Amino acid sequence: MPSKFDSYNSDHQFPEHNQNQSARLPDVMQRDRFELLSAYLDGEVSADERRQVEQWLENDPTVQRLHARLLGLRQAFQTMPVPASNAQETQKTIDAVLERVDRRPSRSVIWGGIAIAAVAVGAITSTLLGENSPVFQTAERNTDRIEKQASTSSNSEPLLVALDKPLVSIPKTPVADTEETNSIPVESNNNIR
Amino acid sequence: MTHSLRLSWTSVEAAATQVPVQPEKLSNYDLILQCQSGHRPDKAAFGELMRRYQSHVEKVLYHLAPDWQDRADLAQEVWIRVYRNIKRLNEPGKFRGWLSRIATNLFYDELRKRKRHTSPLSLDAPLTMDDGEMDWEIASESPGPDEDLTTREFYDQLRDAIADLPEAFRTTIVLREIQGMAYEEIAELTGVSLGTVKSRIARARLRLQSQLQNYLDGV
Repeated sequence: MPSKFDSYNSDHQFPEHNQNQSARLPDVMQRDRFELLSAYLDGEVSADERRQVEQWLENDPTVQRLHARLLGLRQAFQTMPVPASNAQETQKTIDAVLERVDRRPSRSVIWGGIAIAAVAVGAITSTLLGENSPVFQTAERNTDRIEKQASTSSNSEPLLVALDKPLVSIPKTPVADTEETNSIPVESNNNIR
Repeated sequence: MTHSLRLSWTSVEAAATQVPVQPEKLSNYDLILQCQSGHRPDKAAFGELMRRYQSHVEKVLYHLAPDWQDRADLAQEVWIRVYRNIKRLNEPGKFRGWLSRIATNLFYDELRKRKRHTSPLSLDAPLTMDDGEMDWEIASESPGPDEDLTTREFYDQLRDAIADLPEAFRTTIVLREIQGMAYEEIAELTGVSLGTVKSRIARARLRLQSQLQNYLDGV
């Protein structure tokens, strides 16, 4: 079914020549122009479109009237009362909601619980059966220790000396100068200074 | 593990009940902050929050689903979701918009469920154009206002006119005018293009202003 608007579609192509005609059509407005006016009202237009609509608003009585109606409509949307609960009904809703949140653990808690349980099971499983389980680790450590012992037993002295040395180099003192048993740390100290 | 969780909850609840200021005396902002503290919202504070915003939830749901008889149940579901998720709200100042969105999302969830069981509205609509259910043609059969027209009558007319809009158009204009959403948000929420949102809003407005022109011109 063709609408009244369809017959005025061509008018939109030349809005500047259309003012007299649109003024004679108080209740009818071309579709695209109305859509633009509507978007303008919502701030959803480009800069060019805004200028265009503002030009219409200055010059076109039809656009002016529609704009005023749409502003009135917007105002009415905001102020229009709707059937609302009275204080008693609201209290009932509050009671019902609070009772329900009490009764049912929240879904997030259920999922959280499941997640925690899954992590726990996973941890236990991997602990008992995984490659890095303590059993294997103990075994590896034991073998490591044995190997280390075997390797260090032949040449244990340098290792002991290294461990006895302080981690931070000691400032040069007269006592240290006299004990030049190990020349390397002393040299390095000198270099730093 | 579970045991320790329970213990922490009870301690939080105990702490929350020791709040010195009564929830009724808190500002909206502080009330929301109060509801966000602790693992779960303090019940007194949450009840007060509901008391203050229930009318907004009802308004949103009323306009989205004017013909649903179980809006009260839906409102309860909205508050359950709010209760569970209020801690995730980063900006308490935006609570109203956040609440609207929860209500709208819930409405859409429910609408999808119901559409599976009932035939879509568009099948009943005699006129279909490129965007479906509503023609651009304006029908201005609405009677002119009487001399003693009251604002209340105007609002009645407006409510009826909104309720008479096809569902897709009604929800779109409600999201815009009642909830103040941007076109992009509406497009995302309703799953249509920006152009469709723009067109639906314009067409809904066109019909409403036409049906109510006698009232609107007198404003």
